[in-house]
Amino acid sequence: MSIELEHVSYVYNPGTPAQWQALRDVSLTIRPGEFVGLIGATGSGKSTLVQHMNGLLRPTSGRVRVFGMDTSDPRTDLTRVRQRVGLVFQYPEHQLFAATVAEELAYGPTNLGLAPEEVQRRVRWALRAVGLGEELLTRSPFSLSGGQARRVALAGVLAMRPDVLVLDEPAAGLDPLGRREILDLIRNLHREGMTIVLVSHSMEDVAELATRVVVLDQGRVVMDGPPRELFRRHRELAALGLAAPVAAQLVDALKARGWPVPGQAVTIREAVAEVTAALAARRRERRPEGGREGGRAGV
Amino acid sequence: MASRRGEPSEPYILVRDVTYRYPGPPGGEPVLALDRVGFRVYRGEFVAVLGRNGSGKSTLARLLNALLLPQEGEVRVDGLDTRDPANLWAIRDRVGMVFQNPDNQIVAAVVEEDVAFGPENQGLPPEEIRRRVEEALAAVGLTALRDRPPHLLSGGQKQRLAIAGALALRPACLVLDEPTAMLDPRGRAEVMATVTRLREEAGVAVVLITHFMDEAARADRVVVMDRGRVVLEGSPREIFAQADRLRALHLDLPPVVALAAELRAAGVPVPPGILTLDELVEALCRLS
Repeated sequence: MSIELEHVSYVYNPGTPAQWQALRDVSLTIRPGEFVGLIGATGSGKSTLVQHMNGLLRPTSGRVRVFGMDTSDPRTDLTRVRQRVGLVFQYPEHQLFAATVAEELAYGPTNLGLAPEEVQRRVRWALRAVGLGEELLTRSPFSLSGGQARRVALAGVLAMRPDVLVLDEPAAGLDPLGRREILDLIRNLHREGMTIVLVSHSMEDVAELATRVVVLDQGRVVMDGPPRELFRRHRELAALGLAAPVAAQLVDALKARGWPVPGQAVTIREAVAEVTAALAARRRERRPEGGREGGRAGV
Repeated sequence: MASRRGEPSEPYILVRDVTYRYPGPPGGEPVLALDRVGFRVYRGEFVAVLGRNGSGKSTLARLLNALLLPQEGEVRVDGLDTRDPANLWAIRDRVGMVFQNPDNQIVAAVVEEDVAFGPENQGLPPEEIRRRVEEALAAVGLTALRDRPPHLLSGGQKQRLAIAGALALRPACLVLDEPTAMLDPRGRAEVMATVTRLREEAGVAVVLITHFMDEAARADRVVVMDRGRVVLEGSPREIFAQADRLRALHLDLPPVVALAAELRAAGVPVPPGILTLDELVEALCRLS
């Protein structure tokens, strides 16, 4: 198991008037190779939860184990935890600080105590992994475009060579192309074997990418399952301030209008397949009967 | 000047041939952000501005209420030239701005005080301030939360509060620069519902800068910028019919339009111009 949370609760500012319980008895296991989409309204506890995954926060009660290392155990080396689980915050480019991209990317691996040659190898690999050229190495991170700076920040985490990559809204604020690029990159990292936890407000993105979706509400895990099953529960999602992808909404609406569709689609491709299959079935049905009307309404 | 104001055929905001450059890096060339841009906003209309990062959208937005001044060309708001310092406050009263990050726009410790901040600074009488606060809170649906500290509001509520703060100055036009970028789906829906209602009920013109194509699909008119110029302009139906062109401009189709396009590509004869899920469902149901 990569990350195991057992009955994790977390309280901010305990014992003060500002006390706030952000997580309530969360048990969750992230398995190697999964692509987990983590969704929930603002304030549902997503960011608090992901900060437990690399030991930035430690549970008020319960236990978090990262590759077997208990993050609450004082003997646990948190540097080791953070090397295994890389966390990319929202708007990570706001945290760039070095004078050059090369220094920025070398910072993490250098702190791991790696030999300079290994550090350089990782810097170049990480830069390539995020699709940037080596000509950027000597540039100041502050002279980059928004999309480039975002990718440099991501490369800084990748240079640690984590087994698990946790990303909090990695596409927020990017234009549609920047968005597609960063999501393709994450998809590629997953294909190459990295375990991914993606926090996102975009149900379309989660439907396209995730193999498993976890829904948080008021600090609790309220749904956990494959996107196909989960995105069918439109009403529940709407009540949680979330929306199903448009593809799921379409097949649901058609089903309600009497179309013979399974109503399982969550991606555009799947919705197109359901609609074309229903239309083809309808045509087959009609032909032998010479176009007699009066079958299912609407089709 | 005064005689020109308020004529319905005149644009309320007129941006003519505006060029704007930011200072470049030390020793480098200035960065051209707007290149002879023409743009207009009519009373009561909802204009969405799209474009990739760096296309000049936010620079354009900041020219509309004299946060930035044109280096070449001119910007007029209700006939008032933004370059004339004497017009500054008259222009800011007419054109309100709301930015991306709600946390950077809130100034007071209680919701209604935050809304009162603008009118108080204008030196309005207390009676009038109260009236405007009531009106603005009602317009964004925050009346029930008037006594809350803003930090306890959700993201969508904070953005509605920022909108209320702008509305309390009774602007004729509201400019929103990616107001939903940091919000969850519910917050986005709240802000968009508020924006739509403002335009319909109060006749406030809205300029919405966004990366969300589904938000632009709800506008009266869509303007697409690229490299500091306006490159496309039209109704959402006209704009989103040009999938290839949009893609080349680093933009996308709204999810429903993309779904309709994929259905068409798979041989399902869905008519062009579909923008909403309801329209798509109706079109499919009409097919046989």
